[in-house]
Amino acid sequence: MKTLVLLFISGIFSLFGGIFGLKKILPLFATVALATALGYLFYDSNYGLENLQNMLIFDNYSTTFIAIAIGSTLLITLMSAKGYSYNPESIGDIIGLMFFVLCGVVCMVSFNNMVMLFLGIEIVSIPLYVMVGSNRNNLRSNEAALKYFIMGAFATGFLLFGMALIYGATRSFDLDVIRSFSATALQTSPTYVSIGLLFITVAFAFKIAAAPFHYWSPDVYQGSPTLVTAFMATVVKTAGLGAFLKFIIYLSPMLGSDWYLIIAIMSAATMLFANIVAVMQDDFKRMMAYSSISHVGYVLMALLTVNKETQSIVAFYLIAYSLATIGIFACVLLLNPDHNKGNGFAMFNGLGKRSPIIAVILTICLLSLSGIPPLPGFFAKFSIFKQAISDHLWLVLVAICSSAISIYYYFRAITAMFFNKPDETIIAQPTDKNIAGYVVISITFVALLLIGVFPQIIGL
Amino acid sequence: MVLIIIPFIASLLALFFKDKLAKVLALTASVVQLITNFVLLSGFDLKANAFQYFSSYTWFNSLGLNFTSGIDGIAMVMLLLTNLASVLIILSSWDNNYASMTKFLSLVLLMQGALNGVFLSMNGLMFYIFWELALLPIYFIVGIWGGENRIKITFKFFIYTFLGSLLMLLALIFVYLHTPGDHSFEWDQMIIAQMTGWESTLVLWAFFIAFAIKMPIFPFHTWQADTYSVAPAQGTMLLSGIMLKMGIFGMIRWMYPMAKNACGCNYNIFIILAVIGIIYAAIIAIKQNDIKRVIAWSSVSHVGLIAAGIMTWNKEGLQGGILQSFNHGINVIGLFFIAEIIERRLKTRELTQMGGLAKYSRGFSFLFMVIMLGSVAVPFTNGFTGEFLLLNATFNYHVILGVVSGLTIIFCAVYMLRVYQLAMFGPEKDNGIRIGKLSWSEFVTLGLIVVLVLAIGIFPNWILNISETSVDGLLNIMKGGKTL
Repeated sequence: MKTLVLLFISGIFSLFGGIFGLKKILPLFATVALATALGYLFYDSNYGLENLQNMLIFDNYSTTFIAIAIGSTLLITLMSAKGYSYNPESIGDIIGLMFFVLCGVVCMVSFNNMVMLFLGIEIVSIPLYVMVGSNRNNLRSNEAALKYFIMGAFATGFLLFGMALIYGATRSFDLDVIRSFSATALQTSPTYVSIGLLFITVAFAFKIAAAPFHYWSPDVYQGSPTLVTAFMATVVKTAGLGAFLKFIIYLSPMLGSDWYLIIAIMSAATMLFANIVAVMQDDFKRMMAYSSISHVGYVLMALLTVNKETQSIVAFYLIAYSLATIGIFACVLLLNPDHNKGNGFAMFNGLGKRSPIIAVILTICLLSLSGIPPLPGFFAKFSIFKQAISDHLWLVLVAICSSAISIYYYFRAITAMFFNKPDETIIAQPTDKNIAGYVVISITFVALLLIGVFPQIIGL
Repeated sequence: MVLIIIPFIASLLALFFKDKLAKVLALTASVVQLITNFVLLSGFDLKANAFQYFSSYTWFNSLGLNFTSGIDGIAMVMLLLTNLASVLIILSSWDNNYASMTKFLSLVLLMQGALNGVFLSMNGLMFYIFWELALLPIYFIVGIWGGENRIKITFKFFIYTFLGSLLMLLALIFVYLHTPGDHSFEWDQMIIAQMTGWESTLVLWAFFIAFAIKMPIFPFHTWQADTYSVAPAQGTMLLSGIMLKMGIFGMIRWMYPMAKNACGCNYNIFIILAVIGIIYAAIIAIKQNDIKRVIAWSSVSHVGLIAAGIMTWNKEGLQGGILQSFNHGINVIGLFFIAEIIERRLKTRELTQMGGLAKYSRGFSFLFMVIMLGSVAVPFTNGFTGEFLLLNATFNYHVILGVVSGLTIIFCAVYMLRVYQLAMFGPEKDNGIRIGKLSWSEFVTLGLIVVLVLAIGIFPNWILNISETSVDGLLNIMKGGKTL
């Protein structure tokens, strides 16, 4: 609770700080505020769970996911001093909006009432529409914002419709009530409860970009400023998957085998489609968009089996994925700080010679995403496979095939870095002035190796 | 445990030194490693049918991943080969001046560490981790220092082997789920997993494809000749000398005990594939004009014989396979190094471009001859005992298969002698004069190999004794479970 208040106040402060000429200190302020929020979060969690009128419940579950979200934001914010160079005027707005998104994230992963879920999703989405379009002079950024807005509004419609149908059957938004209803009257439950559940699932699928509701994602990721892309790919995904998992854990007695089959098919389609299409991309950021879609597919696989380990498996996956993704986008930002050179694979040509540090770190991040041991990405994927294999052997086979496909596009970047000659025409020379960027990639590098060699330090 | 740590530390250290110092450091590290290995061997009880130097540490509890290591006789032979070969390989790179030599050596040492890990692992997951870890350095070695067309070829190689690894991972998880009680990835638990015949067969095929890609066995060999010929000399030595032994070792240690309930009829298919590979590769080798390609194809042929012998799963076959793995590792490193020496001086690998070299370098031609004869399996060279045991096993398994694979000795003599004749004798070409004298590192490397070829040829029991007890133990474990 204190975390939520702190985040909100920091957001307000950033907005006003932007107006009153405090732009220089804002990145520093945001970093400190986020670190404090993280500290409060852990401090609070020592006192057991906190129940706010049955609307929000802060427990071990929400603490885990909020911590992942705030931690990712912290890393991204560290780079914000240089990251918004395309529009330095509005840095206060963007940092403020980032805080508001985090408020929404807190609501999303600790909801105990459908209303809070809806509010959380909206609080996350509305600032994001603005952030995506914040590079006003860039046509792609504008396109991305509009596309994201229309799709997001569409998904919200589904969510509301689904919630209304469930309310119609159970006369409550409270998850506990819905849960007790589902346990007693499951046999006689009217069809529209299933339809309601399906609609909510569709809305979640939109938000986390699972196939076949992922079409907005590549355009939006490609068009957004790099830091916003990183933010969306990590924090927003964490929130969406955290909320979805909570929803499933609560309502699992209500969900029939048909529903799980739908999720399984969705997962398979997401992995296959995203990985195959990613192979054909020439724009690195767009490829990363498909890569992040494919990772949603793997996580969906974990959601199929709900037991006491699911939470830690998903959390571990998200940590591994977020660290590597932030590292990659930080490297892209270092290579292409002005967002004007295009993000083709050519920008990596000969990077191993030009800037070995970035090249090595980027390689480690890509290897982790592709699931090469002993990096965290491997342990994450492995625990999901292990959990799913007894019930869904076919799905694990699909996942293994798509992992093999994903090697192609991750290694395409690695190949370009180490085996290709530097390209004379597009020299994306890293700027050495951006110390914060180097700090961030070093942090991700050390964290990935540490978690890889000693996976238990996360304590999940 | 120590065996894994030394190369890793040395690999990190090597990055901080300049080229010349890094070479000294890498060589020292690999020699220290070899000495450590001999110390372990001297304390190794040859009569005890158990995993010695056993140790276990928790790594990642919730996944069942422990750092469990132990050495039996089979692993001991493989470790000796790895560490011996690494010394030879690093020594052989002494005269090379690749761009950024430090990185190169660092990768070689990293690979050595990972390979030691593969042979030491007693935990399925740990085995997989080191297996993959061994793949990465070779990818970079071939990709960065390789020859023409390397990007496409390394890509093919990597994706091919990675798919195989994933299949193996799947098999490991599948076995894990059938282990008794609280599931475990420990080897001794995995071999008593309860699976029906059908499930066992699935596991068997998954393992087989993974290992067959690595070795490679026909029809999974298509990545191999290209990769060997494009890789830098040391990369090829690593690949053929040590890395393919991972596949052989995996079959003995993991595939066979785990899939013991599978129908023995599957092994018929595997052996037939291996025998086809022997003949097919040998015929192709005869027609090649590039020295490296001849050796690459000959390697497919030899490994096919090893695989066929091992998969008969009797004592001669296994003992012969293990001995021959060691021999093949030594011989093929020698042959590839000879190809490299010729290429360094003559700037070509085409057999048609060379001839009469023997006239200019007597010492070189003698060393070449001994190693070549070892490869052809002439008595008193190391290849003889191994191939004899393997052929004996195959022959006992099925007469026709034995006869067909026996042809390999003839074919091998044909293509090896052809290479020797074209390169060393024959009409002189004007570039022959450049062959000159061997440098000291070249001489020491080849000399060591020749000594090994002759020593093992005369005293093969030295190796056979190390592995004998473990092979007996393995076959004992399998009794009752096997339905051949």
